[in-house]
Amino acid sequence: MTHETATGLVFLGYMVGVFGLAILSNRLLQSKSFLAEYFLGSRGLGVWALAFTFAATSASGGSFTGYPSLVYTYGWVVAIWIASYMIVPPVTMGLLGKRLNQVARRAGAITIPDVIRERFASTGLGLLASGVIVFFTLTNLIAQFKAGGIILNVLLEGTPGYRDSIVPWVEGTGLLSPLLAISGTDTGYVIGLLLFSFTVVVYTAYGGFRAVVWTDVMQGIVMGIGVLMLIPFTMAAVGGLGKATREVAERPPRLVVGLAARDNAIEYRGLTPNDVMVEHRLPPAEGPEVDAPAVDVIEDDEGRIRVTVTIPSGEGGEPGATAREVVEAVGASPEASRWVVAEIPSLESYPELAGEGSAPLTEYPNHLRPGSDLVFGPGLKQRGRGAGDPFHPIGMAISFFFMWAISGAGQPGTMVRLMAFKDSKTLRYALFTVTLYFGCIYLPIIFLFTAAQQVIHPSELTAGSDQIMPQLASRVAPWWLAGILIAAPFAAVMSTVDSFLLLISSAVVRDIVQRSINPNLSEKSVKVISYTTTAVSGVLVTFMALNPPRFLQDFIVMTGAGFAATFLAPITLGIYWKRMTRLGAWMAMLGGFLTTVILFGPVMLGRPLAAMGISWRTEEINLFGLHPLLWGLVASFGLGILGSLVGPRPPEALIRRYFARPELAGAKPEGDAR
Amino acid sequence: MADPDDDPVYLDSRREALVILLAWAVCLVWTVSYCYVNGYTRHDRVPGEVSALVPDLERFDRTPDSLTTPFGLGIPDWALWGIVVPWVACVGFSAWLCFVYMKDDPEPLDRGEDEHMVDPARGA
Repeated sequence: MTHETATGLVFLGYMVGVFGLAILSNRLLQSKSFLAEYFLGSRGLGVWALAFTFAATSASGGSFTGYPSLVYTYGWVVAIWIASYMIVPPVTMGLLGKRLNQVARRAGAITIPDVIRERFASTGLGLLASGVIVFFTLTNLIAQFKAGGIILNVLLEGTPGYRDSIVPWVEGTGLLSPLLAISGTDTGYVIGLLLFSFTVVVYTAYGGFRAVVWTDVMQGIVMGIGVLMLIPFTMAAVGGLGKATREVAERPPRLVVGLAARDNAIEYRGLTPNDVMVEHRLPPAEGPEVDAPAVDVIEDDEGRIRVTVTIPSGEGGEPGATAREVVEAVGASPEASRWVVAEIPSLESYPELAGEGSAPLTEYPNHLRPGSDLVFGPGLKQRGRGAGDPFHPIGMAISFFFMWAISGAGQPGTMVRLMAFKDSKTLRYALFTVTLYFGCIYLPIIFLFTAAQQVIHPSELTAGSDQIMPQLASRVAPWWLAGILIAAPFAAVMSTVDSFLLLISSAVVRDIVQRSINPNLSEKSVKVISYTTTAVSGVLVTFMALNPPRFLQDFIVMTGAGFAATFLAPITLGIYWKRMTRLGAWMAMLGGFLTTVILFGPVMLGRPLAAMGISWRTEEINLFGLHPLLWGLVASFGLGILGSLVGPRPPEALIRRYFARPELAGAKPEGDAR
Repeated sequence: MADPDDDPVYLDSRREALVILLAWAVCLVWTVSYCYVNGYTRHDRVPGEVSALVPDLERFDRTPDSLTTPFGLGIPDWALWGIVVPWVACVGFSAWLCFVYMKDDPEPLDRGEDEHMVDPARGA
């Protein structure tokens, strides 16, 4: 059986499982109090459900695309990048879990804005929390839907008959013409997006929180088993991890540009311990035209060798020379030959490579990475803006302990799961299960994809290094395991998207409609509004993902940091510090939110401003080399404590309600000045 | 200082949270400093950044010849002692936390609180 057919079968089985679980969840929904069941699973999550919904929600598509890609690209230094996951489960589950669960029960809270509204007796704070959640989540969802559409399109591409029969048939009916006009992309992406949206929206809207949790369990188990089973196959293919690490360490500096599939791959090898940068460009507008590839070599102020290959312009602004001609030009340049060797790679999977494709261009100068950069830190960025800068300097190494562990604890999607478990025994067992699970996933991925350097040549990755996991699985594993691992990123994106959809819908239904507009809604109305809001949110996001805003990807980088900086301080201080007041909560939320937004300002505004001809930086502001999240947390906690200390103490009844023994906690205090 | 009327879940959770924060800080300090000193080939000290506060560590810069992979595991020495071993220790810490240190809330309390759970939307 081929990998493509196996993937199709795995995908089909997965869909049957997802819809089956949604139907079961909906049956359960009919027998319980609707809102608490639909948005919180009636606070009844057991060990496996809590552990895997936690793990699968944390493991977004990035865990199976971006993270393996980083390991493949940068090697062992990514172990420091991910290292804080060793302590992530205790921090994200244990730090707040037991206490947040108790406070949520006392408050009768179903959502995080509910908790904030009740703990600080403030409708305004609840609405602010809902607004921030809707804003950030919506933005994030558009990108996740786009990723889901792309992954599904790639999955379906390989399915026999899809490209030859189904896509032409859909195009022939003209059904998708209006959507294609909006998206401006190919039919495959639109079909992938629609199929993805339909699946995730239907099972989330129909089954609610419990369907999401059960599918998370299924996805988490499949993903975990898939990664673990890939280890022996990969290690057998490379002759063991020790051999792979040693060979990588001894490799001379290397840069691969172009793709084998386009027959324009070029491999540069460095002949010097100096850092070498290579750039392929068309002639500058103001410079002279060239007839053949021209090679310039300079040594810059930092002692780096810069090799610039100017390629003649061809038709339509495309390069007017082949990869082979570039290789010959570099070989013929005595200055360049002192520092680098360029050649067409020799690959078993592409025996016909001759370099006859159009020469590849590079957007920025690219760095030739020595093997030592793959086994030691910090490594240097190889491509794009900032190539040649350290990949993971010490400031970032410190920041990432905050990024994964502390920021993870401050995500509303994480916190809401801590409100849903049955009892503290469940929390204890689930926490340990997640610790084992993360250890079994994230550590082996480092071993697997540093070794993958020896199996997959970069020029074989047609869609970039994000596809390294399916490529590796296809190369070394049997068909059934490859099928599972090729479908894994899709399952991971789904398990993140479904939680986000419910987060938006709960913020709208519970916090805005029911709590602020009409508290006397009947159960039937709440039901209709909940189903409708989840479905409409999904449809809305689908339309936006048809043609997402150009700068969206830059913007979503800040959402995780923004969430943590906005929510972690008010929740943590609110449940552990009696003196925390409403004023403190306002200052903490606004301070954290604004600090993050300001420090991420260039990311959001840099490119749009550049499009208007105004030049500004496009990277976030890392004050003193530390990530904006850290400053957001400092501002949020600092202002929260300061604001609480300068104002009057919170009402005694409020303190008693959330901090005294149950028999003394009494009834819900009257919220003053709601 | 604890008030005699304080809820035991609140007091237990606060104590457990402090232990978890301490463990996180230990992981951060050990992993980052060990890996930085023993696993980096360049100790760039950038003016105005945190790295400028670190003493000159050029004598620690690694070369491929200095690489060892202890116990034949194929894991670079700095990653083994700086990340893999602490990771295993964290699994141990997690087991201790979950099965020895963390206290269970008395179950009736959980149920009791559910029973007098209010639905604020209805103003109960």
